[in-house]
Amino acid sequence: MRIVRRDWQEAGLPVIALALVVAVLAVTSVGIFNERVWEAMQSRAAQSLGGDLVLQAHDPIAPRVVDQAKSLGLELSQQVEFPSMMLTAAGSPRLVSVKAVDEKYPLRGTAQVAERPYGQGSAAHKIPDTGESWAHSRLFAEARFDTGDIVQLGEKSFRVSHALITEPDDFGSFFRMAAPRIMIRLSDLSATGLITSSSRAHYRIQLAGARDALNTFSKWLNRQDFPGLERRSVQDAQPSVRTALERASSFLGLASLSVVIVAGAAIFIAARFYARRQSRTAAVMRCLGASQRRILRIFIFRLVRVALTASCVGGLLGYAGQSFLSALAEEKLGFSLGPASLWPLLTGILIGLITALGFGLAPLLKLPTVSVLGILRGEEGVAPPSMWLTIGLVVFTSGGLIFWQADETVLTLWVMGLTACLVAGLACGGWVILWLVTQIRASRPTTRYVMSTVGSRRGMGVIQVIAFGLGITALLMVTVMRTQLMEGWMNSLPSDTPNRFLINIQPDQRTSLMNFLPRKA
Amino acid sequence: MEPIVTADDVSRQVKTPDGELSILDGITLTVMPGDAVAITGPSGSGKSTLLALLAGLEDPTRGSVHLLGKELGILNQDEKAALRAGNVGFVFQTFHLLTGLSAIENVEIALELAGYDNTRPVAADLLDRVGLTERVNHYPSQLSGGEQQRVALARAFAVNPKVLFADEPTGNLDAASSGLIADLFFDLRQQFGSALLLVTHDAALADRCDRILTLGVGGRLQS
Repeated sequence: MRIVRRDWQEAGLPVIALALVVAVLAVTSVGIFNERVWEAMQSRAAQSLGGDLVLQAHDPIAPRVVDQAKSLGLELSQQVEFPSMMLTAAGSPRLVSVKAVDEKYPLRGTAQVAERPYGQGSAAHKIPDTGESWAHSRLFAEARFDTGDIVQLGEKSFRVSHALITEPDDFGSFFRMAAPRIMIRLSDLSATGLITSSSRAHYRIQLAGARDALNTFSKWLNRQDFPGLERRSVQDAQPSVRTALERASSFLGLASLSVVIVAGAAIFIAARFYARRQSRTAAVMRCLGASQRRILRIFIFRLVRVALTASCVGGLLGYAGQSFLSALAEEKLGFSLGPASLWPLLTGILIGLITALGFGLAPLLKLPTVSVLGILRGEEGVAPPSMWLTIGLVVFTSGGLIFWQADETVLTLWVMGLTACLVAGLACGGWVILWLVTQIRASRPTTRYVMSTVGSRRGMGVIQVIAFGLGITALLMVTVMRTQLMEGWMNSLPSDTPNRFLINIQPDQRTSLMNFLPRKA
Repeated sequence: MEPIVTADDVSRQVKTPDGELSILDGITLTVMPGDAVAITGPSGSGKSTLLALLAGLEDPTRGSVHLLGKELGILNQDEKAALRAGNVGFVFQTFHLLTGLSAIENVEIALELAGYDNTRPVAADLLDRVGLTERVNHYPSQLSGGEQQRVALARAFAVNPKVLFADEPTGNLDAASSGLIADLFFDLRQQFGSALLLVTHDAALADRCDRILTLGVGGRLQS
């Protein structure tokens, strides 16, 4: 705390610290929020598949696929799904969709079962016992049986133990109106005698596990030739939600990056001020025998220490900030978000350090060569940093951060090029305005003093014009982008895209409903 | 006995919009161990510049300077810094204490840069000798001008310097403090046996040295 208090008392460092706190807060809160929304979406997508990856084929899937998945440590669950005729005890037939599952089913999400048809569902923590089945609620009414009754599938009888309310990987629920689901244990399937070489069955394997293992498995699968093997991953699930989230994520990322760039400009100005105020310290250290390298190391270490402290504070505040964003998102999205990982926090702290060094290092590099004689005479100051080094560091840092956010070289080059044009324009404009100010012939001494101060520090004035110009441009860009993104998305939709859907409307109900809605509109 | 500092025909010119300006011109001097040399002269005669050249903080335009037997002209900045560390002490008119450090830390930094390991007891002893036992943890902003110069003296003598460069050490103090600091300064110099190069306008202070060198306008040695 003593060191922090000392740093806080050094001119320039508090501005650097505050700029970093704001920048890291923005990056961390957006990063954590994005991660939580993505993870929640991935999780929900995985639940809708019953696993992280699903393989499906019309023929039994090759054993070496299973072997490869197991060798990578992936979890597996196998199912077979096919249409068949079910016979009730009374002998009435009914078309059903049989799903035979193994004991691992499902790998993601849970099936919901109830004691009675259409009853309150509860999570099923196991699959049907041997010789038992779960039937969809609609099947109870249509085939006129109840829980505990016996139904026949092929050559084997099954006791209906529960009503199946929902299943996580119900791919065809909307279209499977004609064949309600009946679920049995995979080990009972062969006893039914329903699967023959000519059966129209879907053989399915659900996989779940670590992302790296899944990627390795997918790459292996790409290199193999399995005719008719379909693949479905969480990336394919809910594409519209994914696109919307990608846009929102890009927008938030850009907004947070704008904050970082504006903070960078503030850091550069504050670092110049700090270097100026530390010139005496550097000179005294030179007198006392400190080498130039040592002096530089001391000031860089100090900058890093302040940057690290401020970035940690910003990161922790970002954690708090994302809770607010997440609460809003949970309300809008209708589902809860998972816990946040430490990765966005570490990324935010790293960005804080990179920003501090990228924008704040150049002014400090002149401190070891400060003129001791000037300081002995009571002057204060340090030579301005090398222009090319400053430009190089700022371009490298900004470019790296933009590339990190945009993840696209062409876009990064465009942004960098336009930013360079903007900076050049602001520098020229600022220089001209400041020159014009110094040309004003003021009669009052105080006004003349102000004019002479502006004139003597024109370089710093131009830097401040650039910093403010960049900041305002970034804010305007974020505002425009927000509107453009929304408009772009809305324009991409057909003009008659409905906002609400009604399903399961019977033909005889259609007319009365069409009359009802305008009256209530 | 080898001289501590020698200057041989040292000159220093700077470029100005009106052409070259001579700050120092053909200075030759020798300072032996334990010598106390006062450098006096009117403002602008190059006293502080001469001090900076002799300490290796600036380079002469012409001539050579030897410090502790080494020619400064052939050393790079870091080698000069290494030569100063532990051998040279500085006292400035405006104290130049490091504002972020307490009194004892200001003394410790000189010891640390000179390569001392256990700096705290040595620094505490020096502060005790300059009468600041009760003020060791005070920051420069919490000390009076006289107290700050005492800390600066402790810092200068902490490394037991072979030579001390002092630029108007009493120039920023009132008459009462000035006398006390001057007494303390010369007492410490005597205890440590350091050679002294003292820039001053104060004739009384200059008189306490073994020799007085007077610089004239244009940086020529007059006596």
